[in-house]
Amino acid sequence: MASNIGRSSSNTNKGRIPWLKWWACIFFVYLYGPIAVLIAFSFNDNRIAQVWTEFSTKWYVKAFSNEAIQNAIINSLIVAAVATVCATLFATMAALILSKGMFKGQTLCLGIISLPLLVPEIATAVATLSFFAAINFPLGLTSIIVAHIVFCIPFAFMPIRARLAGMDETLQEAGRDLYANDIKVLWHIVLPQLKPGIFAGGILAFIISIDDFIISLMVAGAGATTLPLYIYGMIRLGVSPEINAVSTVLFLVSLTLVATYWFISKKNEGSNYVH
Amino acid sequence: MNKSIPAISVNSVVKHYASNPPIVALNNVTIEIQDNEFFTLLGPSGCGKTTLLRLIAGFEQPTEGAILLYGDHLEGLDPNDRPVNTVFQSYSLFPHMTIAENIGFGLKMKGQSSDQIALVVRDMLALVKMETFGNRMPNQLSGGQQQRIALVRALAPKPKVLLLDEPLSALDLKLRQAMRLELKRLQKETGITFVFVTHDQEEAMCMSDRVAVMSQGELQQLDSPQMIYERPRNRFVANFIGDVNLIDTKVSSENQNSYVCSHNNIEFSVNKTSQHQVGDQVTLAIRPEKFSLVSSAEGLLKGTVVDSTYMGTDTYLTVKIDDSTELEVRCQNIDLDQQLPTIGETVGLSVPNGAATLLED
Ligand SMILES: Nc1ncnc2c1ncn2[C@@H]1O[C@H](COP(=O)(O)OP(=O)(O)OP(=O)(O)O)[C@@H](O)[C@H]1O
Ligand SMILES: [Mg+2]
Repeated sequence: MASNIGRSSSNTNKGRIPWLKWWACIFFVYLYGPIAVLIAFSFNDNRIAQVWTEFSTKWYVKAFSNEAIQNAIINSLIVAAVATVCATLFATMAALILSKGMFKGQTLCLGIISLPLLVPEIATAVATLSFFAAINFPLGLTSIIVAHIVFCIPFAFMPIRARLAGMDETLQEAGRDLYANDIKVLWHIVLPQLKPGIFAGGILAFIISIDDFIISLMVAGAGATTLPLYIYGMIRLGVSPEINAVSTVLFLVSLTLVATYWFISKKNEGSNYVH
Repeated sequence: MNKSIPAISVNSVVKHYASNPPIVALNNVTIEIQDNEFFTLLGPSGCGKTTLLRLIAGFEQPTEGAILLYGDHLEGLDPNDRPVNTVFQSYSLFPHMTIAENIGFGLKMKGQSSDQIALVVRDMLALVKMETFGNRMPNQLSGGQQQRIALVRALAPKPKVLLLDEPLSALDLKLRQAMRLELKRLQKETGITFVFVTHDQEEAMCMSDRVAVMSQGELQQLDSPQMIYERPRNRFVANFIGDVNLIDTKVSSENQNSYVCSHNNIEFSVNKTSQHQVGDQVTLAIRPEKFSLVSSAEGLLKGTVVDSTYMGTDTYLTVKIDDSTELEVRCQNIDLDQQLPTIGETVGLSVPNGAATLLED
C-alpha cells in the first residue's frame, strides 16, 4: 500500500479505498431516506399514510387550513423572531466586549458563553423549568421566548466572534487616525464589517429556535404550542399525511435557512481581505 | 502655524514595552522635524521606527519624554484628536466603502458637509490621476492604485503632518521607483510635512530633505542625505549606508581644524568632526569610489590587486595595501578600451583631500 502511493501520485483520488464511495452512498440513504419517504408520502392521496395511491397536494391544503396548525406556526414564528433578534443582539455585544481584551477572566467568559452548546439539552430544559418555578414565572409564550433567547445566544455568538477575530485591526486604527472616535469606529467600520457574521448568527439562532422541542416542551404553558410540539402531539394519534405535509414544510424552511447561512459564511471568507 | 517652530519635536523620548525584562524600543530619542520638510526615519528592522511613528500618531504613549506638534504638547490627546494622519504599510483601506467614501472618511468624521467632501475627493483623485476610480471598491484596485488611494485618504483632511510607515515596501521595484517621485511631488505640491519610515537606504537618499538614521532604539545621525553619505558619524552609519572602507589609524598631529592620522606611515588629513587626542586610535571611512588609480610610483597608497569583478557600470577591485588591510576600489567603466589592472598587478591609489571621514568610534 505505502509503496504504491509514491508511484500512483497522479491518480491518488482514484481507487485508494475503492469501497469508500459505496459507504458514502449507504450513509446518505440512511441519513436522507426517511426524509425522502416523508416528503413522498406527503403528496400521497391515500388516507393511510403508508399506502401509495396517487399524487395530490390535498394534505397541504388541509394542514394549512387547520386552525390549530396555523396557531402553532404563528407561535413558532413569534418565538423564533423575538429570540433571534434578542439573542443576536446579546451575542454581538458579548463578542465586541470580549474582543477588546481589556479585562481578566476573559477565557472564563468565553467558556461560559459557549458552555450551553455542550450541556445536554434535557439538563438545560429541567434547569430552566425549575428556575421559572422558583421565581413563579408564569408558563406560556413568554417563558418559551425567554428560554429560547438564552439557548440561542451561543449559536448566534460563534459566527460573530469568528468574523470579529478575522477582522484586520489596523482598519480600526485607520479609522481612529481619520478622526473617528470609538463610537464612530464601531458604527462606521466594525459593524459594517461584522454584518455578514451577525446575519449568519441570526440565521443559526432562528433555525435552532424554530426546531427546538425539548426545552419548549418543558416550559410551554397551556395554549402556548409551537409547531414541533403540535407535530409531536398529533403523531401520538398515529402518523397522518397532514403531519407529513407540515414536517416537509418545516424541513424545507430549515434547509433554505441552512443554505443561506452556508452561502453567507462562504462569501465571508472571500470578502475579508483587500489584496 | 508658525513656520519657525518645528513641526514635530521629539524630546528625550523613551519607550518601553511591557515584558520581562522590558523591551526598550526607543532610548532617549531627540529629533526636531521642520515645517514643510520631507523627513525620513531610516534604520534596520526592529530599530524602533514604527514605534516612533505610533507615538506621534497617538497609538502608543511615551514612557518618558514629550512630543510636541508645532509647539503644542500632544500628551493625553487621542489619535482622533491629533491633526496628524498615517499611511499604513498594509494600506488599510476600508473594504466596505467605495474609493470616494474612503477618501472622504476623515472629512466626514470631522463633520464637513457632503458637498465640501465631494469637492475634496475630486481634487484628491485628480492629484493621483485616478479621476474615474471614485465608485470602485478597494478590492477592484491594483496594489499600486490602493497605495495611491491610501495616500490621498490621509492627505484629504489636510493634516499638519503626514506619517508614512514603509508605504512602498509591498510594491514591485518599477512601481516603487515611480512612487518615490510621486511622493516627492505630492509633498512639494501640498506643502505638508512628511515623516517617512523606511529601511531602504536608496529610498531615504533620493526623497528626503533630511534623514535620521536609527539603530537599536537610538538616533545615530541626523543630517541631509549627502552629509549622511559623505560624513557618516560612526561605524554604524558608515556601514549601513552604501559601501565603505574602514581604516585603522592613529592621530599623529593636530592643527586648528584638522587632524593628521597615520596608518603605516601613510598620512591622511581629516576634518575635526569629533574630538580626539594625539596618539588616539581612530577609524577613517573612505567610500570605494573616492579612490583613483594612478601608476604605482605616484599615489598616496600602493597595493596589489587581489580581486577584480566586472559589474557593468563599475569594476570592483580589491587592493591589498598591507597584511591587515584590503581596500575596495570602484572604477567607473567609461571606455571599452580602458586598461584596468589585472590581478597581481601593483597599483597606486590617490585619495582626494577631504575624502576620508573621521569616525567617532
Ligand atoms: N506592541 C509591542 N509589544 C512589545 N514589543 C514591541 C511591540 N511593538 C514593537 N515591539 C518591539 O520594539 C522594537 C521596535 O519595534 P518597531 O516595530 O518600532 O521596529 P521597526 O523599526 O518599525 O522595524 P521594522 O522595520 O521591522 O518594521 C522591536 O524590538 C519590537 O520587537
Ligand atoms: Mg515598522
